Amino acid sequence: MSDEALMSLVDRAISDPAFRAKAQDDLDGALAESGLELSAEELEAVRDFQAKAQGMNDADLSDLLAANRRQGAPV
Amino acid sequence: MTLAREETVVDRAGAVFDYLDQMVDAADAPKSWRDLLRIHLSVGRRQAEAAAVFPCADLPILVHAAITGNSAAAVPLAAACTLVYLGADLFDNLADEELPEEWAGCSPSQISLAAATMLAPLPQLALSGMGRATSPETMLRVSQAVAQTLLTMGIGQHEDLLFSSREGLTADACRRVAERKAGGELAGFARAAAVLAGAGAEVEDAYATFGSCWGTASQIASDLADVWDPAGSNDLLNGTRTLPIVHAMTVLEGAERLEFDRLLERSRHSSDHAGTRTVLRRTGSVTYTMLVVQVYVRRAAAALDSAGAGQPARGELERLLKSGSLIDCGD
Repeated sequence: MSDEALMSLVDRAISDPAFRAKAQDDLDGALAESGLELSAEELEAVRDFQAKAQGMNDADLSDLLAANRRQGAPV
Repeated sequence: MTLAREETVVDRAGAVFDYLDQMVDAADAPKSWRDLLRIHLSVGRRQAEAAAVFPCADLPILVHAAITGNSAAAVPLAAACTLVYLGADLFDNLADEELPEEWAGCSPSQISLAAATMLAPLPQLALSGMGRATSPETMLRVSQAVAQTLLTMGIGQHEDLLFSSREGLTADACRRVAERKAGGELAGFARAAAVLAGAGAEVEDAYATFGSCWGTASQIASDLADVWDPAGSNDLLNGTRTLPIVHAMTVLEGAERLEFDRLLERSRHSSDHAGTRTVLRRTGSVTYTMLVVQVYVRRAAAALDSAGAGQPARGELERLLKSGSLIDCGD
């Protein structure tokens, strides 16, 4: 199991605002420039995540997090 | 008893709390002592009945069932893990002044005594119920795994206490704290169950990784959900710096960062946290936190795959993992 590239993508998106903006508009281009290599499955997961997260309004987010408070694991 | 497909979280937790009630009833102790312990056992039972997942009971039982097909043999271990969770939870409640109503009228000394009893002698007593079907060597290794879990949780708690007061907090350091605290707890419960089931070292490690990633994902998801609590965020009121907050602190610069610091300070004195939520959305901290949760969920799923978990326990573990994964959770 090697998903370090995926976590590196997340880390780079925090520390580099230009990379973050580029990844939102052009994920493939941002990855090619960064040298990060995601598997096809990881790429699909990131795209799927982007589509869901970007399409979420405030009410959707509140509902999602309320469901997590009800259903998430007590930790 | 083999794991039935229709077995639910409530069934598993019910078996564990019935076991604990019988253990406390059988203790050679005054009624007042037993009543004191029953208070938090009833809090735990209520919590388990309301939740869609109760990892301290679900995880050991399901890991054991995924390896052996048998769930009943793991009930004493699940009881020990539940005591560890409840004892730590009670100390947290006491420290944060967030005690459940069942504890009304009890002194801090009584509450500390109950928590210490749940963390120290009772888990060993619960494990002794594994009986003669378990070899002395396995018994010893399961005991060591539970003790190591307690130690890891203590170290994680210690780091958590130091964390918010540190300068230069990073999102990476914040993730590591979640890994050691919640991740370490569930990793230990899963490993103990794999040991009890007689798994080899590689399978033990795979289940420990599953537990670690599940616990970390749950902790980070819970930290994000806390900020959106309509009654106000306990973490913001307590000044706790969780991942979404630390991410926003990392992203913001100059005057915006100073204004965010002032907003966080005001958040400690008011339950109206709408302003903080707005900043977290604007800085991308919500999206970032959700993506981190997804990465840990993926890691947990991959670990379950490499462990070669058997059905139907595997399907139940996957379902419970997704129930707290933010993107997949819903009614």
